[in-house]
Parts: sequence; C-alpha cells; structure tokens
Amino acid sequence: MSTSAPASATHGFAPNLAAAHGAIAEPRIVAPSLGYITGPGAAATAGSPSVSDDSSADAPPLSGSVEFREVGIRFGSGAAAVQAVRGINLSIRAGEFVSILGPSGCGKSTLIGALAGFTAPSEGSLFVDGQRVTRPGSDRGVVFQYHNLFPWKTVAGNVEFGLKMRGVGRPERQAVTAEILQRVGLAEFARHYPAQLSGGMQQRVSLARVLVNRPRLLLMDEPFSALDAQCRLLMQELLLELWREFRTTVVFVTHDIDEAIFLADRVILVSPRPGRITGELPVTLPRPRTAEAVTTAEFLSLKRTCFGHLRG
Amino acid sequence: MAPASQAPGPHPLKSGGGGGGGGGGGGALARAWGIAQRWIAPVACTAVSLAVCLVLWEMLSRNRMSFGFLRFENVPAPSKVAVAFAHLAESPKFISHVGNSFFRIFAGFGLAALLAIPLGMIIGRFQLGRWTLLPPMEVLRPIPAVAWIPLAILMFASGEQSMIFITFVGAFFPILISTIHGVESLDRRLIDASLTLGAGPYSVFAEVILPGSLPSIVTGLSIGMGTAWFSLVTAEMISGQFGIGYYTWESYTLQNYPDIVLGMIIIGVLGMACSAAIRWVGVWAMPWYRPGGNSV
Ligand SMILES: Nc1ncnc2c1ncn2[C@@H]1O[C@H](COP(=O)(O)OP(=O)(O)OP(=O)(O)O)[C@@H](O)[C@H]1O
Ligand SMILES: [Mg+2]
Repeated sequence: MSTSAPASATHGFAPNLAAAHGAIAEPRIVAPSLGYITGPGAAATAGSPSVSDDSSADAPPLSGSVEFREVGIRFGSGAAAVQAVRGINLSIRAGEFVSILGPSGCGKSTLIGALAGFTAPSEGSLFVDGQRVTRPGSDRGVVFQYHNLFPWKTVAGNVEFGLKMRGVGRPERQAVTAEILQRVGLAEFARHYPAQLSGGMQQRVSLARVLVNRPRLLLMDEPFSALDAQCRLLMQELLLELWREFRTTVVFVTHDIDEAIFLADRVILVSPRPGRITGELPVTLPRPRTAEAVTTAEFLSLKRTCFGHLRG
Repeated sequence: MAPASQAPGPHPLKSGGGGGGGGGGGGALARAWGIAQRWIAPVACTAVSLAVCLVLWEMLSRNRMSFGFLRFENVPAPSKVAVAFAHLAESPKFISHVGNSFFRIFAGFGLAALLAIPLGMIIGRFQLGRWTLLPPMEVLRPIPAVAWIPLAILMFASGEQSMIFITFVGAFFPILISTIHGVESLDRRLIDASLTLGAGPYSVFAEVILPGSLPSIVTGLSIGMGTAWFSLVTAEMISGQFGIGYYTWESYTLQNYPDIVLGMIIIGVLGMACSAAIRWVGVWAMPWYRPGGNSV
C-alpha cells in the first residue's frame, strides 16, 4: 500500500499533483477531482435534506460531528421488547476516527443503524452537525460486513450510483468512477459484476461506492471481519489513507481489539446488552500508521488497558 | 511467438501470460477426441433415441396393432404425418393458422405481462396494495382459464376477443404471483443501500426493486407462456376460427387423422419456441444472473 506522505490536514482538497505524476507506479488520489465535482460542502447540500448543512458555503472542510444525547433504542414492544442500547452519551468531532468495541449483541449495529437513519432512537436524540437524524441520506455512507452491492450492476455501475442519484451527467460520473476505482485498485474490474469479485474486492467497491458521495460520516459495521488476516491488514491501511484524503468522520464498529486501536483516534467501549458506554480510550499512536504500529510498546500498552476495561 | 518474459506492466492484478499457445499434434488429436466425446456422443445418442421412437411408432401404426383398450389402428404413422406436413406447408392455411395463434398469444400474453408486472410490484411493495388489490386476485386465481370460456364467449363481442381473454387469464396469474414473490423476497439491505446512496422513491423502484425482482419475473413469464399456450389451444378448439388448436380439432371432425398429429406437433414446437424466446430474453436482460449460481 502507498506510504506516500499524507495530504496535510489543512489542505485536504488541494490538488495533489504528485499523484498525477506517479499514477503508473502508485495510482492514488481521487479527492481533487471529486472535490471539483462535489465540493467540500456538497455532500450536505446535495445529499439528504434530513441532515442539512447549517453552516455557510465556505465553512471549514471538516463536517460530520456527531452528538448522542441519552440515546436509548428499544426493539419491539410489551413483553417481547428488547432494550438494545441505553443512555448513550457520545460526542464525536468532525473528522475524527472512532472505533466502537463491544461484545456480540451489545448494540453496535443498532448504533450504526441509528446514525444511518434506519432506526429512530426510542429515547434521547441524535445529531449530526447539529441536525437531528431522521432518515437515511447520502451524506452518511454505510459499509457492512457482508457487501450489499447491487448484483445487477457492474462495479462501475455500483460506484457511480450515488452520483447518478444526484443527477451528475454520465461523462462526469464515468470520470469520477474511473478515478476512484483506480484509487482502490480495481480499475481493471470496472465491467465485472460483484459476484465475480473476491470478498476483499467487494468491500473495496463498497467503500468506493460510498466515498463518491463524499459523505460527512462514514459508518462501518465490521467491514473487514469476513476477510482473511492479510487482506484485512491491507484494507485497514487503505481505509486510513482514504480517510486522510476524504477528511470524513469515521465510526468503525468492530469486536477486534487490534483493529479498533490500530485505526482509531479513540476507542469507545460498550458493555453487553443493554449496551452502554463503559469507557473510552484515546489512541495517541502517531499517524500515518502502518502495519508495524501494532508491534510497538505503545500499542501493546493500549491493548492491555483495553483488555482491562473489557474485563470490568 | 509470445515473449517469454513477463512485461513489468502496471497491471499486477491481470493474470500472467496468454495461456498455453501452440501445443503439439498429439495434443490436437486428444483435443479432437475430447470434443467428439463432449459434443458428438450426446448428439448421436439423442438422434438414435428419437429415431427408435419414430420407428416404433411407425411399426405400431402400420401394423394396426391393438392391445385391447389401446388401439393404434386410427393413429397415423409418422410417414403419413410427414406427407400431411408437406401438404399443409404449401397451402396458405398454414400461415393463417399459425399467424392467428401467434397473434392471440402475443396479445393475450403481452396484456397479461403489461398488467401483472406493475400490479405485482405494487402488491409486493405496498401494504395497502396488498390489502386492496390482492383479495380479488386470490378469489379468481383458482379458476382455471379454461373454465372462463363460456363466460368469455358471453362477455366479449367476438370470438377473437374471447380467445385473447382466455390466453390473458392463463398467463396473468403465474406472472402476477412470481412478480409479487420477487419483490417480497428482494434483499431488504439493497433497498437500504440505495437509500443511503441518495435514491428517491422513484429510483428505488426503477433501480432496485425492478431489476432485483427480474429473475423472478422472468420465471413467471416463462411459466405464463406455457399456460398461455395451454389455454389458447383449448379456447381455439372450443370457440375458434383459424388457429392451430382449431386446426387440430377440425382435423378430428373432418377425420383427417394425420393432421391431428401434425397439429399437436406444431403446438409443441411453437410452445417450445416461445419458451426459448423468453429464456433468451431473460439471459439477455440479466447478464449478471446465473440461476443457481453465484448471483449475489
Ligand atoms: N430489528 C430488530 N428487532 C428486534 N431486535 C433487534 C433488532 N435489531 C437488533 N435487535 C436486538 O438488539 C440487540 C443488539 O443488536 P445489534 O445487532 O446491534 O448487536 P451487535 O452489537 O451489532 O452484535 P454483533 O457483534 O453480533 O453484530 C440484540 O440483542 C438484538 O437481538
Ligand atoms: Mg452487528
């Protein structure tokens, strides 16, 4: 994977000319021209009106702050009711990478569903950039453990879907799609159908399909758990690079401690059902991170703390 | 000829060379033998099997064999049927019969598809549609198309219209039921995915629900094509003028026995052709779909 220097945090959308020159050896950077199509604030204005952009057009490039206030989510009613999560209070900064770590059934997917707008909180409220979340929208992209690509669309057809929904013309769609496919290493598979790809490739398509929308929030629900260890590592590194380029907030659900720490700025620990936040762990490992980071003493000490937390 | 060394290309994901090129003469022989086994053997077996059946039939008819309850004395031999076909093929009646049947199939089946697919999608997608539109369908569904014939004759001004209606009824329910099933069994996550990608209600329908239920719809169409033929032939026998079913029944009343079998064979061949056409359209419309395979 690429180890070239990150675009600095302050010029996330500036054209990366080096990338254009190095295209053959190391195809990368899609952000500039995507920025040209959609612009930094475009996700908010062109996406779902459910979480509309309240800031001015020349707002700072980073949007996507999240605020859970006393959120509780219950499924069903009466005796069969299941309290999935309770009393969730959590603030996520715009552009932050947060991992949510917890045992099976603790409500991690429920939280992702609430952020995506599929499940309304039964109690409390949930805000993205100060706006209450009411329904799904293209400003919040989701990637699941098992891909949900459209089987009847080619890789390119899947990736350009969001742009098509937004009314972007075909030539532009194709250009942007080609660029981002190049970026995730799938340029040659544009005409393939999802069923013809490996699991790792399918997840890369899922990621690309979400990123063309320039979501302010990237929601990932155990996206790499079905992949083998080596593939997972490559995907994690790719994700970190893309996160840097696209400057989006990421909420990453996992039950893998290493993965949670390796990726995140902050690990949120959730208790067994009904899920509540029992602690959080700031991750101070330097960025950009590569696979070697997991062997450092700092990483191991974070992991130990995490274990301690989870044991209670 | 191909360069042996791998070009250090920028396409690491593409698999290596162009595969084994030439191959020796012995290999070619083995390959020819393989092709013979794979293609010629099954074709030969099929041909022999069919030929044996024909010969058996010819013998039974020629010798006017009789086994008590089962008599072959009035069953025309295949050779007689062939002669009848030569006659029919020359006469303008042939085109007229086949053309009439085809037109009725296209009209009845086409109307059924045009109505059943949107109706099925509405019933499958919306609770209200299910509550209001499905009950009358469920009441009518168990009535075979053939049972409609007397009423159809009373309801429609011309025999032509009543026959198209019978064909329509025959095709309608299989298409409707398959479409409903296709919409209902569509992976909910795909609809959710389209919503998180910014799809509006219309796009959800056009981009997700329709293509997603297409395999099921095509299955319904091919079942519906079978029942449409079945219904049409019956209707033509009872109330028809022209049409291949009418021809078959007329041959019986006129005691042109070879023509009966000829009519039956033509009905079979036309039905087969129509089903094949549906399958072909299905494959063409769904290049991504391999039945029983890795579609998702
Ligand atoms: N649609 C639903 N209807 C009823 N109960 C549900 C529904 N979705 C989730 N639940 C319940 O909510 C609880 C939390 O489920 P959730 O899927 O969020 O857990 P999770 O943390 O994602 O688990 P895992 O790690 O196994 O994916 C579970 O007890 C589950 O039974
Ligand atoms: Mg889950």
